[in-house]
Amino acid sequence: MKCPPMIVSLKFRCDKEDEDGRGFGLWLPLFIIAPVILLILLALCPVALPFILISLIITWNAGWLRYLWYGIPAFFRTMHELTGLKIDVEDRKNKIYIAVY
Amino acid sequence: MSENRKKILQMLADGKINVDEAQRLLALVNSETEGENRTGSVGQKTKSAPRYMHVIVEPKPGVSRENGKHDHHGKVNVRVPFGLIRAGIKLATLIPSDAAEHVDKAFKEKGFSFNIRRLKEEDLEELVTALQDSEINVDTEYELIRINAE
Repeated sequence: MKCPPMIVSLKFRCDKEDEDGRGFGLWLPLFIIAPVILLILLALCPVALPFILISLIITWNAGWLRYLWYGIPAFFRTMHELTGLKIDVEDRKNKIYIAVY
Repeated sequence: MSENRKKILQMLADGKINVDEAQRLLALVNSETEGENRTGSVGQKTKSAPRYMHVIVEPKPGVSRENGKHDHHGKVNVRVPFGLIRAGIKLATLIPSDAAEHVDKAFKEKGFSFNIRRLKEEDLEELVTALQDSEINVDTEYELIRINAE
C-alpha cells in the first residue's frame, strides 16, 4: 500500500536582472499540517454546514452537485498519489525544485 | 493487451485465420507470457511494473542557445508517478463540458487534436507497457532529451 505524502521539499531561486539571485528552501511536514487542517475543517463544519446545504440546494438543478460529489474523493485520491513526484526545472538564473516524499 | 494478442485478433477479424486457430495461438501466447514471468532470463529478475515516468532535458555541454539578449541553459528533470497520471485521468472525466471544450480548443491551437473527456486509463496502460522496455532519447542541436519509465 502506498504511503500518503509526508514531506514536501521546495526550493526556489529567482534572479532579477538588476539584483543578485535570491532563493529559499522550505520543508513542509505534511504529516503534521494535514491533520491540523483536517481538525480545523471539522471544527468549522457546524458553522459552515447551513451555508453548504443552501448552496447545494441552489446548485442542484445546475448539476454541480455531481461534480462536487465525485470530485472531492477524486481530489483526495490525486493528492495521495503525489508521493514520489519530483520537479526540477532550472536555467541559468532561476530554479524551481519540488519533491514530495 | 499485448502486441501479439492484438495481431492475432486482427488476423481473426480480417479472416486470415479461423476461430480455432486464433484460440490455439492465443493459448500459445499466454503460455509464453506465463513462462517468461515465472522463469525470466538468466541473471535477471522478473520486471515489476514501472512506477514513474521520468523526463530529463539536459543542455549539451559547451553549446548555448543564443536568443538575442541572453543564452538559455535550461535543465529539466521531472519524475511523475504513474499513479498520479491515472488519478489525473479520472479527475479529467469530471471536468464540466464547457471547461473541457476550452481545454480541447487550447490543445487544438497548439496542433493537438485532443478530446480530454475521452482519456481512458487503458490508454495509459498501453503507454506504460511500451515504455517499460524502452527508452526515448532525442538528440537535438542544443540538448539531450530522455524519456523512460522506472
